[in-house]
Amino acid sequence: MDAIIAAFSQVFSIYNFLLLVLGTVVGIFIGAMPGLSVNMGLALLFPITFTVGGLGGIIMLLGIYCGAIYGGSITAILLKTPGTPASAATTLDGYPMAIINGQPGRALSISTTASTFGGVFSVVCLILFAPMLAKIALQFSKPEYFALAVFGISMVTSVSSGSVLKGIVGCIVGLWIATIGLDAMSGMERFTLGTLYLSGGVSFMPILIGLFALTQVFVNCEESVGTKQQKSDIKIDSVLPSCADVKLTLPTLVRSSAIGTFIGCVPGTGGDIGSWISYNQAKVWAKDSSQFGKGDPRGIAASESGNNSVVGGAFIPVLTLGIPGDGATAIILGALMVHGIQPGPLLFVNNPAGVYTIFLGLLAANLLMGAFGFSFIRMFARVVNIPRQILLPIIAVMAIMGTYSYNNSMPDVAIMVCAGIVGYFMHKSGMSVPGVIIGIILGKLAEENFTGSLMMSDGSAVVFLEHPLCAVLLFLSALSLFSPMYRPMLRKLFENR
Amino acid sequence: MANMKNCNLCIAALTAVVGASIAVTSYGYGIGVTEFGPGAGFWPFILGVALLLNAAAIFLDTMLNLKSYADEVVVLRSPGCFKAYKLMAMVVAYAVLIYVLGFYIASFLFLAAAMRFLGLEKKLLILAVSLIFLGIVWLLFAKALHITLPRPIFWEG
Repeated sequence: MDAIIAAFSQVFSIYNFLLLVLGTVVGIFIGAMPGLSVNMGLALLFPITFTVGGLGGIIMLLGIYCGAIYGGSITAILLKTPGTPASAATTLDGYPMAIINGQPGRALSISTTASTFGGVFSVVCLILFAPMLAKIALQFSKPEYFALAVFGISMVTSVSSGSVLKGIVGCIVGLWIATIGLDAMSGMERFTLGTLYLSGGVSFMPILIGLFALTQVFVNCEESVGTKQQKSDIKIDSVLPSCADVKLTLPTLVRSSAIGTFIGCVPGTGGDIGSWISYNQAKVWAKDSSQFGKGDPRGIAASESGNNSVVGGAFIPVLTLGIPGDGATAIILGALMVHGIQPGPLLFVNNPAGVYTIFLGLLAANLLMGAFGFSFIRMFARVVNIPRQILLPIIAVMAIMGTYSYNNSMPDVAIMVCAGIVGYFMHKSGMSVPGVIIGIILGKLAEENFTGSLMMSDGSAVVFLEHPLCAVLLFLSALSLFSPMYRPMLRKLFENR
Repeated sequence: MANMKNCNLCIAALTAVVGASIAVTSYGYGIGVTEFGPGAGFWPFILGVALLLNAAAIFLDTMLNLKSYADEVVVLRSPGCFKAYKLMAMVVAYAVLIYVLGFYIASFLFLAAAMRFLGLEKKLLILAVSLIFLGIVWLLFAKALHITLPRPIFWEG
């Protein structure tokens, strides 16, 4: 009870609440701008969390995360250009309703209602199920933790958008970057090139900002050649949903939110998968599906509740096991760790106030997102008109400013710029970026528990097979890692049947 | 015009070089397992070997799917790419300029130059956006958060 009261006082202190408001507004803005991603927003504003204070900063990041996923629907509906991949399915019915049927206000109100419902639903599930899972995870010893880290690392095959093999290379490089500096066991310097700067290890912050924010600036710069920025000059009438729409979409909202929450729990998935599966299920369950794709309210409701409910679901493995499901949760996991909050089962024992602060922060972020959506939808609809020529240089300056202010270090800035340039070529060659971040974040956990397990067993690797849960997790990791090899064969087999 | 075949082969070669370097360097740190646990190089050695194996896998995959990778174009010389390369050069120059001129002067120059480079033609708008943005940064960082951003070298000297 004390922890809940402490969490309430954290989240609803004026300062932290203002940070949450700021994060949510910035998140909606970022989500609404095509080309700006959730990850980019989180990476750019991550350094500010150090100056605004630990939990306050985390609360702000939660606001950005929730806001950005919702914000993506605004352009998906008004411009048929999803602000984030998670809102791609929303274009199917959102755009026809808004533009062809001439009801932009109705489309946006359904999307706001669905997003808020999905977000709140998933947070309630998080509050109910995360502590249960954490209790089970409390039985873990070093081999299980190592297996868990490997399981998290194996998710790189799912988060890799391009070639899986190249995604794995990125992840291993990330794991190696995590070894730079002093070895925790022997105190020996590793890969430091004799420099003082590297002996403290490479901070993942400059790499994160470079790979997610600066790379995106270069990619957007390239894509701006020969394409004209779309402008929105649509008049929005009503922003509140009608009773008939609420009644029609309610079963879809509940079903899609449950699907999205479950999908969010599975590491390696994301809002895009959640929204497509929810959309598909809404179509399957509908008595009359003939209006899907022509502006059916259930289509918008399914997609938006599906992608927003992924948020709460995604936090279940992050908080209980310390496994990030995608790039965005990897960044938030990193932020928690940097601020001294070590996600995992012990978090629920050692820092219950922190856990409840995250729960409440997420809940408040979703409610705020809905409130802002209904109140300022007309204003957010205009942010898409900000010229790219202004936005891109400002993002580049913010990336440099954020990196420098983290450690007051110019070498960090140099690393960030290098990471941004390398990230651009990784993007070009179909190499996934989140793998590198997952590698860096899970690297220490994997190495420490790997060496610890070997010490427990006097150097015998059999220890990893003696613990049943560890063996199962390692088996699942192997299945996940090699899935690109057998998945096409399985698909072919099912198709033949 | 580059293709994915060449791109993959370059990545495989680079991965092999990096993997071998990590493995060799780690070997020097000690990879033996004693009663006190594995040596400092044990874990990175595994990573080095994993990179080598991955390099071989990328090479094999490319050789097995030579035709499809050869047909897949990797655009590196389009006008858009060159624009991105120029912006990269500007960002690098900006980072160097921060060291010399400090954050605010360098940022003003970069913002103005980058907006112009990206196609914004209204000079007054460029000036206004740069100044207003930096004004907000100054208020937020210097006044509210008390964070000192890099100063010019002549200022500190």
